[in-house]
Amino acid sequence: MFRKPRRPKTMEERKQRQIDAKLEAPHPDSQELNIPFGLSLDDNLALFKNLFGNASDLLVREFSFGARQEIRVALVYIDGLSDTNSISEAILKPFVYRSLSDDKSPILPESAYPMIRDWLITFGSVKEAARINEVLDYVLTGCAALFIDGTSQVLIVVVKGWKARDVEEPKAEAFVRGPRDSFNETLRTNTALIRRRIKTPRLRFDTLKIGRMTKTDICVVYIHGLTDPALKDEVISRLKRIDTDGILESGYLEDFIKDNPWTPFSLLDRTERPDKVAGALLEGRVAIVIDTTPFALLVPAVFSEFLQAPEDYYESFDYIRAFRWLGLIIATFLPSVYVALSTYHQEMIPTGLVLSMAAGREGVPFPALVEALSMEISFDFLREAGARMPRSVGQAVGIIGALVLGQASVAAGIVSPIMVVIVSLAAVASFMIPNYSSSHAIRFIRFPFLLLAGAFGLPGIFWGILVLLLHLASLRSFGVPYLYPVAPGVPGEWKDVFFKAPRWMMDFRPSLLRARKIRRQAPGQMPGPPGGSSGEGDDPQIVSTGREKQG
Amino acid sequence: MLDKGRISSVQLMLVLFMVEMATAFLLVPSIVAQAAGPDSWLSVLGVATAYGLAVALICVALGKRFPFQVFTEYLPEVLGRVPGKLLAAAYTVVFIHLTSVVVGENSIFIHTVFLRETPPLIINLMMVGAAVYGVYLGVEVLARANEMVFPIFILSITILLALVAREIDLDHLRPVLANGPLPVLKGAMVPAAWRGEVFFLLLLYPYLNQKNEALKSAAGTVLMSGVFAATVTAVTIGVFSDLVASRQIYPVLNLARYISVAGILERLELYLIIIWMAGVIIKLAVFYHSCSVMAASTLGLKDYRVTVFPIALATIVISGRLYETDYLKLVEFLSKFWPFYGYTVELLIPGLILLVAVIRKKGGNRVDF
Repeated sequence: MFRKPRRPKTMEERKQRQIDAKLEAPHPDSQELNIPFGLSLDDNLALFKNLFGNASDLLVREFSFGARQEIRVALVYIDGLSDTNSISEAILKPFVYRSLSDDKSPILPESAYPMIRDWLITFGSVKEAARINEVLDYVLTGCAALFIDGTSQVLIVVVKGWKARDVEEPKAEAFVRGPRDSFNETLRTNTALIRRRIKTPRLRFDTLKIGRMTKTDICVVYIHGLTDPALKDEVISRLKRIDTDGILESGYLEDFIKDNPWTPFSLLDRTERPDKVAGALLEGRVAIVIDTTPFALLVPAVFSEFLQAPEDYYESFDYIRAFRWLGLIIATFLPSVYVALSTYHQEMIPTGLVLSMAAGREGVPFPALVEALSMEISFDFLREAGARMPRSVGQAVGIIGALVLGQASVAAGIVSPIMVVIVSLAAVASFMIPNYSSSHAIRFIRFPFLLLAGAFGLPGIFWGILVLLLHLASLRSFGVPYLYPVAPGVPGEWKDVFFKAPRWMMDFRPSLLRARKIRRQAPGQMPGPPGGSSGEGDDPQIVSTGREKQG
Repeated sequence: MLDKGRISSVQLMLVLFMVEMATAFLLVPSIVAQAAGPDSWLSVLGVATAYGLAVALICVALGKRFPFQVFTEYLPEVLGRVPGKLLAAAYTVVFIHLTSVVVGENSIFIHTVFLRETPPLIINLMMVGAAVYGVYLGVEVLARANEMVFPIFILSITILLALVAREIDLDHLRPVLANGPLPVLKGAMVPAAWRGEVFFLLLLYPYLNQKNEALKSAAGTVLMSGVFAATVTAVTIGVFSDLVASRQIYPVLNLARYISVAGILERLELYLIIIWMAGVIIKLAVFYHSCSVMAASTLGLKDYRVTVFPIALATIVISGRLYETDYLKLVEFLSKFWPFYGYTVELLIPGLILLVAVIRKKGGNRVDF
């Protein structure tokens, strides 16, 4: 049945064979399955069933049709992945009607295939396939395959339809104002949500399949003519390098395509909100949408982006961006600065405060560093437990945490009250970072900073900050420096970093993305009272002409 | 070129500023005040800047002749193979020594003022470690990191000076030029040598991506640091008077001790460590980068990074042997030997090299500014 595999010729090929053998599942392009079907229906079906090992979800419906039932056909699909309504309406019914019709002339075996393909199947999307691996791929993604006796061609009817979650509110990204739809686990739904927002044929979806076993569909989304083609090609070439058994979530891809694998900072953005994806696409970024997960990746990503929430752009006036930077600094450094001040530099604290701190610390048996470390660690325990527990248990975790960490540990004299205040303030501040995944990095770097504070005081912390800056400056995300637009400095683009300028001021797309069209909108759209400077602007006629222009 | 990085003219300007000012702002005021008295700021602003501009002109002229090579790479081309290599080797050694001086300045300051019980070796290992990490990342990353460090540096000093501004007594700065111009010239000796560190342009020029703006950024650095250093010196002397300032080791540190805002911000000398460390790590990183590039090009190596580690160890050992924690030895070197040493290395030899290159018609033959 199978053709004998070709003998490997070169060293690389032999190596690849060995790796393939160890990875077990045959590579989609491997010789073994890349062969056409035979002419006999029975052989083909036997081969197909054999491949699946009689799995119970593989449904094979054999029947014959024609006036004298002279043509044998078999329908193969996977139960649960294909829409049974469409199958009976569009595939089975026409066959029955044809058999019952008045036309009693026999159908010739060689004309059966074109007849079925061209006018019997009443379904929109029909494809043809001849090779085993092609048909396998189609069937496994939920299409129905129609085998016809006497031909090696197989008709594929794209009747995909499985149980999917509805489009719901985003679970991981909370907000007050903004569109409430979010991605779900079906790729097509997700691409449709993007297409609904960007109605131009230049919005492109380049699809790849990654994963030897999962064969996950990965969609690289970009706007043709706006996104830098080099960036798009780089994304695709990095994706194509991946050879693994499966991609179950965007995180799998993330690890493979990051620029610097050894950094706690996330070099890609991820979101489940189609409006955020659309915004990124309009800036000239590339989105990677993955089947079976609601989280899409956005590249490239820069550091300042993790302090931007989509809502910033929906609210017209916002001072909160500056507060987020403050929150970031407090979340990262407040506990370590407290440890440094109380251990080494008491003279810098105002006298009144140092007295109350000393009173609070009286009876605490540990040095401030141990106190802070234990509080931070137990806070991380709490956060992790709260996130993983079922909701009903999660409340209990919260109550225990509040009581044990807050009141009881102070009452028991293990930590000082001011330490509880400091650690909770830092914790609250760390929740201000809108992007959950990037707050992992902040959570992580608090610990080295605490140790530095305990060992060297403020000089140690500042040393750590400088090393951190060097590290951040060395990072790149798909070629874009991570600290852009601060370093390298592009002062004209700071209007979206430390604060958010009104929409009519942001006439240009970020320059480092090298978008083909750098201008985003017409200049000079600052709104104002109609009709210019004098009071005559109250004339209603002028208002109406303004409106007409807009329409 | 040994480093593949690219830096913009603004980045070059900020890096050179850091190289010139990172240590100077703390060490120079008291040394200048000893010679120039109330006119110290004139020495810093006028004479030293003029010298710095001269160095910048020569460096840019040399850079234009050899736009894709660092200094030690074209020495053999200009002077002939053997003398060129010898001079390159000498420069490498000199720069290793200069780097050791910076390492010593740093450990003495941090050890005597802040971390009394931490051995200087630990301080050196930390600071040098950070700088070496920067060198491994390359000149481009250094320039980018400096774009974050520079605002911290400038803002911190500005805030510091603004907070002590009410303590300034203008009588300390008057009369101007009471003893004629001679003290001003004498006072400029030491700061001039510092300002001549714009010489590092010779080692950064190949990475510059807009070569025609080299002179602009070099001159910009010299002028900017002139204004900056003169302001720091003037405020220091304005607060303490030249007599008191010249007898202090770190007068700027004592400025920080003067600060008191609303009874909450007090005893802010630790604030100074932010400014100091920010500058010194960048300065050290640029020094180490230059040393290792020089060493690698002299030895004909393909990768400059392999030389960083031995050079870093060498500087730590040399600075330990030379100064331990002895500030007096350091200040003796800085005020007596460093000017002449500096003039030779920064101005005299590059000037001669330029002359030889012009006469022997080496390198690109256009010298236009």
